[in-house]
Amino acid sequence: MKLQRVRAIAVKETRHLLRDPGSLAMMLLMPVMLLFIFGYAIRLDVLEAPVGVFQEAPDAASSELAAHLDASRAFRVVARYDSRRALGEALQTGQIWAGFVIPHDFARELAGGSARIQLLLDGVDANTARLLRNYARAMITEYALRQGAAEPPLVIEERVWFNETRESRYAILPGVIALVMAVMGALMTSLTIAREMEFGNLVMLRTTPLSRAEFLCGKLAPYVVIGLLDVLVAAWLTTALFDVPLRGSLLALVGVSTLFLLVVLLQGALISMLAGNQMLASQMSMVSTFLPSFLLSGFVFAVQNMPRALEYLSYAVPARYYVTLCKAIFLKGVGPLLLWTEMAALCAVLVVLAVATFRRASRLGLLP
Amino acid sequence: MIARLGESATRLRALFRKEFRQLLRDPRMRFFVIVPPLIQLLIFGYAAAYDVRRADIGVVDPVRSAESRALLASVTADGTFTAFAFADMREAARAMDRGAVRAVLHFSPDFEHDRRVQLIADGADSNTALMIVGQLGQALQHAAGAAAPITIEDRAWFNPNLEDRWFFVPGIIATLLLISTSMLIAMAVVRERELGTLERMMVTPVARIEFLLGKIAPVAFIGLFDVALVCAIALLWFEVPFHSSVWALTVATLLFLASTLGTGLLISSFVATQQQALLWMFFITMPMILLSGFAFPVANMPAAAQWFAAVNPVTHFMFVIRDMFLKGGGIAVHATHFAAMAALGFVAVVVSALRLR
Amino acid sequence: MRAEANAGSGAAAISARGISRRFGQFLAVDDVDIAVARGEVFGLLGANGAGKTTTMRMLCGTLAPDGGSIAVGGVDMVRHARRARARIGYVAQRWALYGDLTVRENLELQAGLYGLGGQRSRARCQWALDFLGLRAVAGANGDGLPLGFQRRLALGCALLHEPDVLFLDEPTSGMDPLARQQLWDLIYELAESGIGILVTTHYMDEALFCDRLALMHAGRVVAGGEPEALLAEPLDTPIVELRGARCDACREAFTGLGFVREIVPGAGLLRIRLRAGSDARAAIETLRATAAACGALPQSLQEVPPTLEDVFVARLEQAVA
Repeated sequence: MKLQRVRAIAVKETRHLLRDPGSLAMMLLMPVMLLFIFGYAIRLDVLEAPVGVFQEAPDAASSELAAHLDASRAFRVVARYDSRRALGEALQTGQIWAGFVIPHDFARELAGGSARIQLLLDGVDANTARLLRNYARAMITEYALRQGAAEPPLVIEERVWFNETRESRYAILPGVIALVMAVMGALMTSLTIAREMEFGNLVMLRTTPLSRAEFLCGKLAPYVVIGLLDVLVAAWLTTALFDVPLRGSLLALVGVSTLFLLVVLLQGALISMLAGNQMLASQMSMVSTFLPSFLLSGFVFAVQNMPRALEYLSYAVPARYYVTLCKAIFLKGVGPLLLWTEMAALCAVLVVLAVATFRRASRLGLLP
Repeated sequence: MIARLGESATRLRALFRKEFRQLLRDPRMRFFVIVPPLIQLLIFGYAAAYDVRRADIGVVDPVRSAESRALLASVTADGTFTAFAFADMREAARAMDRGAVRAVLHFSPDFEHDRRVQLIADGADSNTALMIVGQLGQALQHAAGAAAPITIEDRAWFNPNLEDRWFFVPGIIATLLLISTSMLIAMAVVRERELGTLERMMVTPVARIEFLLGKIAPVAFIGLFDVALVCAIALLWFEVPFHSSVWALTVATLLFLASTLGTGLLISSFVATQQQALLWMFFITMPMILLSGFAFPVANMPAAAQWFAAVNPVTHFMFVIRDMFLKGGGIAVHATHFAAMAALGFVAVVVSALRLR
Repeated sequence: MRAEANAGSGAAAISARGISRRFGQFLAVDDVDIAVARGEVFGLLGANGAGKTTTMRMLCGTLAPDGGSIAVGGVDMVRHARRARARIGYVAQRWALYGDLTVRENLELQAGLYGLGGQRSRARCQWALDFLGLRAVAGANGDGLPLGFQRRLALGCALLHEPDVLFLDEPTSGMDPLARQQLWDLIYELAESGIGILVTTHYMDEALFCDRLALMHAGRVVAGGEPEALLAEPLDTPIVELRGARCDACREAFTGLGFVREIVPGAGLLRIRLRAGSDARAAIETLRATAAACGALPQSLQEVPPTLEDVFVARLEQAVA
């Protein structure tokens, strides 16, 4: 392997990138954009959910309960309805997300120690509905205790580790970094070789002493640099702007990210060679990188919740391991050594991809 | 005038033929246009779930009293939670660090008398953590025989079993359509520009609008085909209910298609190479999906994001399609969203036509 | 015809013996020998599908032969591919340079690919720019470069590492006559410096510029040797040329005649190939009579020496038969 040749290809690739400042900017800004969206805009918790209340009897106890609900962070009583039908209509049109029906005998039953209320939920957004239900239960229990009900038989002390403030942002942002890298890595390289194949640029390379290894190393080098830049910028934004702690070491993050970057860049290169033209390469990379990274990596949906078949499938998604590693490094302060299974999996994927890419590269007519 | 239209029709026919052939000639392209949407739908239908169906929890119970064991037995009875015993908190903490367990129950040494138990959840996945705290906490209290002074009878309308799938699957139709059609048309147009054949076409009598229609036709066809396929699976396989009419759905889809194609065309009019097109499309479609209410509720978002959501055609289609499937709202509810999609699509197509040089 | 001063000095530039290549059932190249000496310009001719391109690819090392041996610059192409590739330069027919890199940057890339470092790379790139007259466009982007400049750049890229052998695939296709002549001047200059050059071409007049030729058909070499020698060989099929106005009127009449094999019309003339073994003198008399019967009076009607094209057509017919 001659460094001269690798350098020649790397220099060429860098020149291409610098001559296309729009694309380069996109590669550097994409992570920033996604972090901003997930950091500022997206919240899975529910705040000030619009709800309605229908008191069958306008007595003091019912009104007190309604006021208690309104005072909570989770709910905002939009209106008090005067009939069950009106409540129902508001639910149908989406004006309210949930409706509380306080029966006319509520006061009496409460005094007797066993009261009931009805909660109607808009089930379209099932997750929000569940959250609202949970909040409602917690609120009602708290209210009952205040009214002097008996202590529950069990004292449960709840703690949430790694994310004491229970902000969804904490959990999601390290995962966002992983998602971004997964996608960027593949997007960056999935078109480059296909373009050269489409335009016939490879003809001249074929008769030179250039080998596959030299070609691929030279091609991927600039993107590794850009990818690491992305990681560093993302890490900085996450910690500086969004106050998510980096409890592990930055070095560990960089090391793990480099490994993952190599995996996804190789994936992009392989797609590029398999497709042979840019149009097909773009379709292939969208489908094989973005979607698995979003769905099966544990980024948003917990993998344990999925049917076994999908859980097994997720083992083949490199992003899954990177998400776990990122979350661990940021929030748990542990290093790659403790998560050696994830590291081993990434290395295994790297080896498989490298072999596949090299084998495919021999079809380009380069020397082995 | 009639003659001009006739000529136009002939040119259009020739263009349609060429575009269809170019797009679908490669069997791999055909594969990737049809199969992945299906796979995505199936995966999403099964993967997308926020509630806790299975979780491994750790248990630290040095005393192992009869009460604690009985409690544990009833909480793990239905299989949602699987308990793993650890000798002490240190081991359990290591397991949490590694992600082997999602929560730890630490029974106090004097549990028989003080009835105290610590419930520690892994906050690295905060949504799940909240769910676990809620579900596990509930289960424990229930098992302990708590008689709540106020009970809530809840009923979920439109989705009685609160299946996440019913929420996501209609949404998939929207995202699939957006990603595939806008990307395809952007790449198709830019490809001609990159290879130099665009210039050649502009020299012929082909009008700009004819050229655009030629590009739009096969992509629109593929889009409609995908929608039909996905709807069929949603209805027949996932058994998601449908409370609207085929006509309404078709109109909504066509309007949405207009806006996704418009988006793709708009992008293509600004970029010179396919590489740029891919990056830009991604840059635009990602926020469009994330801020549309697809997976994250719009109402919770800050004002700026809500403004974006308002001019985002995906938000409107997302609302309409979920309403059509689950709620059965009529034209009154949908009218504004239809109008928004139509307007956005129209503007996008016009601007791209004007920019086409 | 150029002097053969440099031919035959030192090791052969290209030495291919008995090479063959099969694609599935189809035998593309069948037991072909090619020898090109240093300083020699060798022309490889043949129609599309004759095996020219496949042979070229094998000689360049981008396709492995099924049988036979190939050595370029004395290095075995099959066993020591990398060393062999370092000895050759290749100019493709349809070569796309990198549009967003300048002419100089394209040269720098190739220099690097051949392992030329810093100082040497700069020197060679400078040389290439001068030798090929590309100084003026050195800083211009590949996009939009006229075809002539593109070809010269391609040639430059192939010469940076001072190869022993140069492969030129249809180097002048699409060029105007003046540019073609200039390119051939360059080719001669390179040959004189000792490089062995293998050229493929469709143009018959360019075939005459070569020192030696090989004509391929259906995967085999059906004619070879020096152009003069090929022309000097007596042809089975005599050629008669008719000049004059209104000769095309006679064409149909001539076609009917038994000894006429083929008639090729030209500007104000007809080239008539007679069947193998025909007596030219008698044929001319018959033709004159037939022409008179059509009412045409030819200016001249005589036997002419064959051109290279005639030789090839005859050889091809023999090969097919």
